[in-house]
Parts: sequence; structure tokens; C-alpha cells
Amino acid sequence: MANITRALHTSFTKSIGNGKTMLKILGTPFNRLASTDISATELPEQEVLNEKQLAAAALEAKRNKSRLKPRHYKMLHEQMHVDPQNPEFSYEETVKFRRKLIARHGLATGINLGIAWPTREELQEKIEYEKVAHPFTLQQMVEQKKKLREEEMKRIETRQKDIEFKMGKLASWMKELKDRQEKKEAIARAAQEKKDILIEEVRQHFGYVVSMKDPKFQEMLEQKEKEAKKAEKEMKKKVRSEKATSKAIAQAEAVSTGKEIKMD
Amino acid sequence: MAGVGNRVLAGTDRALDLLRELPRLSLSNIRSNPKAFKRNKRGRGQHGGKKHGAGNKGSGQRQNFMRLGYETGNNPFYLRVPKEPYYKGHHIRREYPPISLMQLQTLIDTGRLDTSKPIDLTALCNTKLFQLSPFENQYGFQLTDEGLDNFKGRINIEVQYAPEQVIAAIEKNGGVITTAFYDAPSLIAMRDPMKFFASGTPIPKRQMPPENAVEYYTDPKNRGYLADPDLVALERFKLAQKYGYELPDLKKDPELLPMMLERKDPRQIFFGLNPGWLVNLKDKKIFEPEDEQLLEYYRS
Repeated sequence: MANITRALHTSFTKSIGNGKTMLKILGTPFNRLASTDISATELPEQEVLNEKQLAAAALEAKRNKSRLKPRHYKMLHEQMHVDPQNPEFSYEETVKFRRKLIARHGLATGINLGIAWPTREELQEKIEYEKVAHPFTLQQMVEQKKKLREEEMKRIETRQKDIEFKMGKLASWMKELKDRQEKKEAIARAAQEKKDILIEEVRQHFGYVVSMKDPKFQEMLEQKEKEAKKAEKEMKKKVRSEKATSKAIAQAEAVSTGKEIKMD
Repeated sequence: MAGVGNRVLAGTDRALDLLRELPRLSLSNIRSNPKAFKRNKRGRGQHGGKKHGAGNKGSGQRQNFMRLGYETGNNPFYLRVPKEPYYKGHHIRREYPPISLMQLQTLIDTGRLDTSKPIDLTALCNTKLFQLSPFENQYGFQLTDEGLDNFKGRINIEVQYAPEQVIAAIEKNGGVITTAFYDAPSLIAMRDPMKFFASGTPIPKRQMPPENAVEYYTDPKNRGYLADPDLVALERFKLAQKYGYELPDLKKDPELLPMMLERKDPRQIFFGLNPGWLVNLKDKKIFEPEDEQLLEYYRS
């Protein structure tokens, strides 16, 4: 609290005026409802009213035709309408009311100013409340926030790195995916074509479209398969024999030309 | 109908005679236009009792005005959209009512704000043109950039929130801006100091900002009141570079300098008055506590 300047300059302090007095209260501020010495010293003076003043008071009483109760009359004329020593109603004894009374009528109320501040118990309660409401110091909160920020930044950084890496790989991955899809499609297309050819053959054999589930079709299919197998076998045989003949021809040629033959 | 001097009159004469005897036409004896007066009571039964615009039967007639957004049992629209993340926690968020730079300039031009003194929330509230309601989660004022180009005031202002361009506009004119946090009890005291002093309680201690506001108010970029003053000076320079203006030297004007350098303590809520002090407007006196524990409490 070192920076606080004591110069008064905000607009509301104007009402306080230039003659600012710093009045320090002596003694503890916790003696509530006790009156200061000020009223005690002023009482005898008030009691000794001379005749003139009495007359003035009587005249004032006659003039007062408001029919207001004294309490209300005083309230209307901004005078002390309460006697703090002899409270009429229970609310006049409350701390809140007495604080307001001091604010309104100043030290003339005769109430100990200590009432304005919290008592020891209230102060302890306030301190405890603040401890719960503000569990961390400013430095702790700043550090914590900093740490959270850093973590957040780190998280974003790793994510961005990951994204960059993946973006670099994107082209090759796209190609791979396309190839895979094309391959799959090609296989499917080949199968479909084979099936279509089969159906067409069966149709040409029977002269009408036969359902694939039909036993006729199945029979035909088996037959076809058998034929295909046979054709394959024959093909293999043919290839083998061709190979053998070509080999023999080559050997014969080699013998005739006298070249060395490499045996496989 | 007797005529003048017991004459027996008839027709036009008789009518004119009658007119002569009638009082003069005045405001007191003319009848108001039909339907000139509207009854403010809803008549019942034979006294004009019909539906009175409330319709027949049901919710309308009974005038049980349903809560906003309620669709009489339908899944309401505001709940039908599953996610509105930007509204999350809107009921507990801090609110900063706006004051534009245009309004601020007008306040200065019309003499409602004194630029020879630091302007804070109390000064703004004392213009009586801006109300602050801390009970509705309003935590002070924010300056908005409307009228930014026309702003010419050279001020030391303290607000609760200000965007970068507003900071630049104020600093370009050789002014100073600080953003500061006040808790609700402090705001209640600040928005009407006379009312607060009438309560007869000592000036409260300003609390530290909550966790989600700490970052803002410790950032020199936001000119936060908890930021390092050296870093704030650096940021002032950086902002001038960014927006391309020459930062006016505060030291060139030695008369204004003390006012420009004036700042509140993080625990202080009124300029020149410490927390814990009691202001009595009747006696025109300020009272300080002497008790060690109280002093300790108000100091920390």
C-alpha cells in the first residue's frame, strides 16, 4: 500500500473541503455502543439554558403547527431524531443503524466511532472468507495460467507437426488408395465379365436365359468346368511337348554345328 | 320559456332570445369529443365485458404469459439446436457495458469529465449518464472504438476493458490508459460514493481478480494494473510502432506529468483514500483505524 497518494481530488471529495482533518481514534475500536466523552462534557452546557433560550424554545413550540411527532419533526428537519442512550425501538440498537446515524449526524451522535469497523470475530470471519474465496496468491495464479498456456501451445504444436507430416505423405497415400481401389474394381469387373460370358454361353446353348440357380445351369456349369480343366490339361501337355521338341531341335542343331551346349 | 318583457315570441326570435340568455361558450361548458377518454378499467359483464383482445379460452384468455422460448410442450427451439458453445456459462460471465470513444469525447467537450484529473469508474458514474449494476454481473465499463478517429482527449483513464485500437487512440494523443478489476462490493461503493459514505462503513479493500481474469490484468499489452510498469512502457512503444504514430513524451509537459503518472494501488478503490478509512461528510473528517489487526487486514 505504498503507492497511495494522499491528495484528494475526485469530485466527491470536494464536499470534504480543504480543511481535512485526520482524526485518529484513541483506544480500541471494538467497544461498541459505548459513548465518547464528547457528549458527557457537553451535557452540563446544554442543561444550563438561560431565559432567552427558553423563551425562544417556547416560541418555537407555539410556531410549530405541523402536528408532527417530535421524532418525525426532527427527521424532517435533519436533526437527531434518536437518542442513542435511550433507544425507542430495537432497530435503533443495531450496528447498521448506528453507523448510518454517525454518517448522518457525525460525532454529535455521541456513539463510539469504533462501531464502524468490524469486530475481532467479524474480522476473523472476513479473513477466513477471503482465504477460501482466494486460495491462491497472484503469483501462483499467474504461474498456473502460464503453465496452462504452455501446455496448450505444446498440444497445438504437436498437432500441427502431425498434420504437416501427414500432409507430406498425403500424395503417396492417395496413390496407394487409388491403386487399391482400381485393383479391387478390376477384379470385380473381371469376375462380372466371366459371369456374363458364362450366362451368354448357357443362353446360346439352351436358347433362352437360364437362372443361375437352376439345376440345368449348374449341370452346364460343371460340364463347362470339366471341359475347361481338360482344355487346360491339354494345353499344358501341348506346351510341354512343344518345349521338348524345340529343345531336341536345338540339340540337334548344336550337334550339327559342333557348338557346346549348356545343359540347364 | 318566457321572453323579454313577457313578450310572446315565436320561431327565430325565440331561438335568438334563448341564445342571448345562455352563458358564453367556454372550456368549462363544452363536452369533450366522443371517445376522447379511454377507460383504464376492463369492464365486466354488461359494462362492456367481452374478450378485450385476449381471445377465447386457454392460455391467451387467462393471460398466463409463458416463459421466453417455451413452446407449450414442444421441444423448444433454443434446446433443439444441440450445441451453442459461445453461450456457455453466459449467466456467470462478467459483463462490461460499453462506452464509445465518441461518447467519451462528448463528455469531455461538454465539461462533464474533468481531464485535469484521472478519470475512473467513479468519474464516469458521476456524469449520471452511465449506470452500472454490479448485481447483474456488470464489472465496470469497456471502451469501444466508435469515434476513434475523432478522439482528441488527452486523459489518464482507468477502465475495466479496452481493445488494442482504443489503447492506441488514447496513447496517440499523449494519454494514459489502465485496465483495472474491481470486485462487486468495491463497485457498489464506487458507483455512488455519496450513498456509500452515508452507510457509515469504512472504505472496503479491493479484492484481487478471479482466476480467469488474472491473465488479462497482468498483461502489459492490455495495460493491466497488475502488469510490470517497465513492460507497459515497452508495449506502449511497440503499439506506437505497430500503428505508425510517434509516442508523445509524457515528460515534455511537466504540469500534466504528476496527473498522468497517477495510478491506484491494487487494493485502493478511491483516489487519495485508503481502504479502511471512514469518510464522514457531516463533520468533513476522515477517520483511520489504529488497531494493528485492522491495519494488517486492510494493508494486505
